[in-house]
Amino acid sequence: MSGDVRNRARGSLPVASLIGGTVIVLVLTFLLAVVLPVTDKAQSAMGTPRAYSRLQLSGRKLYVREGCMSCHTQMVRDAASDASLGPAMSLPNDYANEAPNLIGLDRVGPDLTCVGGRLSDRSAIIAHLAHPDHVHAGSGMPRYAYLSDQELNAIAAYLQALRCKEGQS
Amino acid sequence: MRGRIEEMRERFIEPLLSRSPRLLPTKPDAAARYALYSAIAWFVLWMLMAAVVAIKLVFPKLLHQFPWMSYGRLRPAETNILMWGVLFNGAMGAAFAIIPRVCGVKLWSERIAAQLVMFVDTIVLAGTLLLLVGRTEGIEGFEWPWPVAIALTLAMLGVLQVLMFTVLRRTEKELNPPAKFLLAAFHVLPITFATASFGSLFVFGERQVLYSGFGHAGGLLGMSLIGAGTALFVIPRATGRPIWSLRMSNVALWMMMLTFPWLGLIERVLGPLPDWVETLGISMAIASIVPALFLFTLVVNTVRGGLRDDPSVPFMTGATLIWGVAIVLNAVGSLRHPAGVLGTTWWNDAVRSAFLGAFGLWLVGLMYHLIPRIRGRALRSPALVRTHFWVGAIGVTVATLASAIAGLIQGYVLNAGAALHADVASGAGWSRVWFSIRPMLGIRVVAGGMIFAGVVLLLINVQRTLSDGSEIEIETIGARRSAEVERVGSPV
Repeated sequence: MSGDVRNRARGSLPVASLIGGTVIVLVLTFLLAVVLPVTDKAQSAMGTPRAYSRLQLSGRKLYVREGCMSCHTQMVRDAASDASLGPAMSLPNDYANEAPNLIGLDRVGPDLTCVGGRLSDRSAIIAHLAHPDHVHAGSGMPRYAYLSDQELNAIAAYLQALRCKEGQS
Repeated sequence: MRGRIEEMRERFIEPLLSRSPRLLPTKPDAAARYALYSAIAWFVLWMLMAAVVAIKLVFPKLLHQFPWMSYGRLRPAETNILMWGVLFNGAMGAAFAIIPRVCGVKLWSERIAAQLVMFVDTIVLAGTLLLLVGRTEGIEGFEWPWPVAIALTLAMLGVLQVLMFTVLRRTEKELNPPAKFLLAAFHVLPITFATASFGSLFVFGERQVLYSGFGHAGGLLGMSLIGAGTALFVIPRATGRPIWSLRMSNVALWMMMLTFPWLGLIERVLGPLPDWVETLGISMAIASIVPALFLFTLVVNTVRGGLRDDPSVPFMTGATLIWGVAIVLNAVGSLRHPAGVLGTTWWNDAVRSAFLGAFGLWLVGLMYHLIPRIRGRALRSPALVRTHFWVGAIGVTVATLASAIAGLIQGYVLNAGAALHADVASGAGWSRVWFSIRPMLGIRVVAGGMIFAGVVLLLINVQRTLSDGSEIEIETIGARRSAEVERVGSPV
């Protein structure tokens, strides 16, 4: 190997080791932190997926469009503060039919995992969506009065579908 | 390899670009300048949107009649503007300016780099408008519709190509620490963004959470590497002292690479993910404190005893400290017992505020350091820069503290409610939680105002520097190389 070629090979070594190391670390992390849990069949068999009617599905789409998951989670955690939210903590298979998932990260507003069990009157839900401050004085929720009656009805139908049975969140 | 790269540029790319010579200048640092100015412009727009979002939390009726101004649409739009319009543009500006300097060669193609900046600006604009009209993928952090995500991935690969070809043309055999951090970051960002954006479209439910978590962790790692690389570039130049320990900078880099990509696993501790997955994530969150300590030690010891007349240094040290605090807050919130109180509360926002504040301070420090040198004008008012530092750093700290206290209050009110069998976690009872944290949300608005005031000071200072700053020598890339190596230190 001539001196020039050897020098060039030495020059590219730090770049190759940096890039190679970066890619290897990311691939291994992806395999262990994403692929392995995704293929954990014992875990993903736990829970009960929900089924939705056409109206409820259109309500779900509106829920996504309006970004409701920015403020509301759909996840009962294994924590004391979540005890009143549902009969049991949420399980992986509860979300098997959910795309996009609406699990959420932050609770600016209350959790909605089992909200359907608490809300039986659809017109009351629609009134709350359109003017939350009229229903609960000082509510921090924004008004959705700009949505049409059909859209409000669809979202209310979706929210009513969020029910939990005993032994399931 | 070097010859082939040159040949490719001469034969295929330059003839295409030379058809519009006026549109895209070829002067050194043109692309870096475009990127930094774009970042400032997006910064102003982001601040305005963030102000509306923050005020809406206190006064929900504000602008409620406009669908495109609703909280649920504005929040992902402003978050994406911050991530890609401000921080990614800033990252491009940093890389296009720093890598040529530490490698001692010109950027491989200023024109392509400048076009990539414009492409990214177009993508951010399109993504923002689509989110505001309600077109969203609905996945936290990856809301942009998939065609926009594809365009952004291509742009990131383009930036990587420009940087790689620049690095491969370098005259120095080894890579300096800032180049290592930046090059690693521009590999991490496209890989994790594409994996999360496109992978999550083909899976359902909690599996999406794993993909998006990987993407969030990749974004955090990428931006942290860029911030650290920027600090390790600016501080030795500004203080006249070499990096304190090159070995420690290498250890910090690889410790970040090994621990940060796992941090997505702690986003929903006590939630529906398997316990062993959470335990892995929590372990890595605790381990991520080690590289933060290393980087902070490195920065403090490099600054100590050096020159103190460059006003960009406080931004670098302050940002590194706030970034370290964010890592500790993140780790504390991930532990199972604290997570029972703090999980899903405003504590998450405190962690985000601290991280984003640190990235912003690193970026602003780089701007104050670079803009005078690449425009040949001395900073018009160093005193205004120092004022900006204190206003910005206090603003970020107050926003972080207000969110952290809101998180603690929210967590304890919910836990007290559960202990007393009072329903505060759902429905009408939630208003008790809301009223208890509302003052903190008001304080966040004030903190946001301080950060915005800092941006106004930056705009005023840059405008005055460019219009009537005293002339200084424009920094020529290549000519500074020997001084650069001397100041940064011999590469490991």
